[in-house]
Amino acid sequence: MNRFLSVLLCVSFITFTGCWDSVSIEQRAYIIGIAIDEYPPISGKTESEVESPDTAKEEMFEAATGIHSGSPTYAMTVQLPVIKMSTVPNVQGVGSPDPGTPKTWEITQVGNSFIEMNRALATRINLLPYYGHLQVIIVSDKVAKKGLSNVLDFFARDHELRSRTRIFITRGEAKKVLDVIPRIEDYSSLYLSETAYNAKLNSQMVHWTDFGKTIQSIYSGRDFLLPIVNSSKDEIMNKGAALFKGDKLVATISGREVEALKMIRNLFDGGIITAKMPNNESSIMALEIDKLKSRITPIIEEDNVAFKIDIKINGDYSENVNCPFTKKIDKSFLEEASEAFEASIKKQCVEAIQKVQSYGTDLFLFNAVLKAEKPSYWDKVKDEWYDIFPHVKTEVNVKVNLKQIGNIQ
Amino acid sequence: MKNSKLLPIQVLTLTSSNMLTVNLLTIQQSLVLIAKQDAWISMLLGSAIGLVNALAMYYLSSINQGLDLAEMTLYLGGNWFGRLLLSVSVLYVLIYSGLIIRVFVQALQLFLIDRTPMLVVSILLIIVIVSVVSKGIETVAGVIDILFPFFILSLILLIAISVPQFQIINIRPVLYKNMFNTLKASIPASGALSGFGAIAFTMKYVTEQKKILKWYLSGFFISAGLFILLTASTILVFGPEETQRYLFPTLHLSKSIHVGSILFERLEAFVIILWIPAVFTSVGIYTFTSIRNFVVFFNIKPKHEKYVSLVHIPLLLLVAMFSKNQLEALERMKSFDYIVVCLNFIYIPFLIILTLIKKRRLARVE
Repeated sequence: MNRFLSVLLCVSFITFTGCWDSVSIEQRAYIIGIAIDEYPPISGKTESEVESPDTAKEEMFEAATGIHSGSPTYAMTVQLPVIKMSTVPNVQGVGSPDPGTPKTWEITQVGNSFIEMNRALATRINLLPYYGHLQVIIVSDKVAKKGLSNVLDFFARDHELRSRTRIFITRGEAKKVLDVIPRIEDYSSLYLSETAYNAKLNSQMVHWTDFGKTIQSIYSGRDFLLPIVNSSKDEIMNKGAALFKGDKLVATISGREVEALKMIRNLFDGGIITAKMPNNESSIMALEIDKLKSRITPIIEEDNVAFKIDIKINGDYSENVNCPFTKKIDKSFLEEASEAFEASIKKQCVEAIQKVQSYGTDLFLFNAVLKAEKPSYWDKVKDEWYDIFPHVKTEVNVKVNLKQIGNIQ
Repeated sequence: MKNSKLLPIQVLTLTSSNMLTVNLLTIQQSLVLIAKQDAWISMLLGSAIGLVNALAMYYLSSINQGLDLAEMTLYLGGNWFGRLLLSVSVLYVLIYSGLIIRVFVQALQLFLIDRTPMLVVSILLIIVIVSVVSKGIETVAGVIDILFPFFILSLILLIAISVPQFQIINIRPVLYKNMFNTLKASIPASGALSGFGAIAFTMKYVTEQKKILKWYLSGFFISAGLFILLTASTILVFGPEETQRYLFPTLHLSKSIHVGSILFERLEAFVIILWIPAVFTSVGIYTFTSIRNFVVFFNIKPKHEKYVSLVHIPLLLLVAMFSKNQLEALERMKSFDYIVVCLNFIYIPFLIILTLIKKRRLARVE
């Protein structure tokens, strides 16, 4: 019998294995970025763009290859790196060769179903689309206002996409962000995805929300926010956030409001806070935050809920502006400076809370905190939570501890 | 089947490997559907129930030394009633083995080899399993000894790397108005750990019977601990709402890990590759059990046992291919988690009672 099984095994290994799923590395189209826009792109285009023969040709091509049922509502643009061009510099410098052909290939496909659009790409490229190295999904605000569930369903089901793929919202056309030609990085998708790593230096960008977290928020019914990006020809700015209720974009907030929100939700990774100098309104001082801990505590009094937000900050005094260089920093100044920072941060947080409350989006996850810490009270109010939330009272307490003052006193 | 011998320490790897079946990939979803954020407590309770069953199984084997479960069922139940009882075990083990193969092949297709036909992967897996099992329990145990440390380390690594993504809020409130559901979910949780039953088929091959209990319980606690930790980790990372959407939460956990910009980008492929030998060992033990059941049930002579192994190739394939789709196979798997708990609470205590009655009768006669 052993001989029979051995022969059977050998025959099986030769005939069955390694065929179906074998794709050589050169045959894969590595999709590194996706931009999702509304289709047809009625507004948001300049006249010259509409009239451009290239644009018209591109749109004709999109329509010709569409395999949608009904009128297409989405335009999906994928960015593919042209590997053989990766060594050519993006910007022509002194003595460098002409960049000539672009390093990426952006292909737009229209349709209603994302898997359908993905398969339709196969009619236009000679490689197999592969999402295993996808870095970013950029969604236009118009699509986000309609809801993200339709957009993300295919990507959530597909096994190739990573949960840590980043999602961005952009005002206007999402494809434009992919069209950016970065100065240092080879591909705009990588450039954009790596901006989030600078959250340690700048607190005005949303760094923690990715594809997995977005899906989690949508499934659990929690409001969430996604980073907003703006682009020019060769630059992308990741600052501010788009607020989502359910899966729909409802509003946007500025970088400073994102900063306050990160402090309240204990998501602060690092950054700078400025305040006016004590007894000198024209001078500004800067605090580099080293460590921030915050805690939200629900307080229930007479059947009304309020939230106490305690923020503790350890940081370094890092700059004076408009202050005489000869003036030394002493212990009493540090105490006054701490108080000034505390007041400034408290004001920033209170304003951010009021703004977010006015949009009716519970981005501070007060509902989740209430459910976790006061479940019996949550049972009573959960059905009318979004009526209660805009009027919920909050108390913000900030404690700043200045540790270092740098090389000079 | 060769007349093999096992060392007592091999009971640890055999027990633990057999407990770590594909249930470790899927159980979180079933538990979270019932107990929500308290599913990890259900797993803890399920482990306690499983421990009671495991000790009962050990006791049964120790008072019927030299016999495996199939032989003792016939010995205690007699020719007709014993065969009737044994038919339950025959069907359960065969179907369960086939379902493990099916569910695992589905996971392989989802995460690794989506174009290779399910039939081909199943045939290959079954042929390899049967060819190893036909060489006897010693060979199966030897293979497990090599693979076990890698498998356990990969799971520990997976849990450790996911710690930074834990959100305590995901498991709170604890046990709030959820006690009944938590208890209810502990039943499938204990069913998921039922692989400890391998002891009833392997104990008779162990050289030093007195040392078995220590290694047996060590194996049980390693696997039960991993089940509890993995269930808690999944809920802590994804939250109950997201966990209940995933068919294979453990593999999604490995997919969600991303250290730095590129490190561990495809950890799930690594995890699933490690899972291939793990499932292979688990199904190997189940197939060995099934072959023993067939041999005893049909009273097959030792020289013909090899044909029983061969018969298992089409039988396992038939069971593996029987479910129409992914959801149907997973539902069947879940129902078996309940069936095995019934078997553990009825079949095993019944055999213990029969053994004690038989021993008393024999003592009276003597």
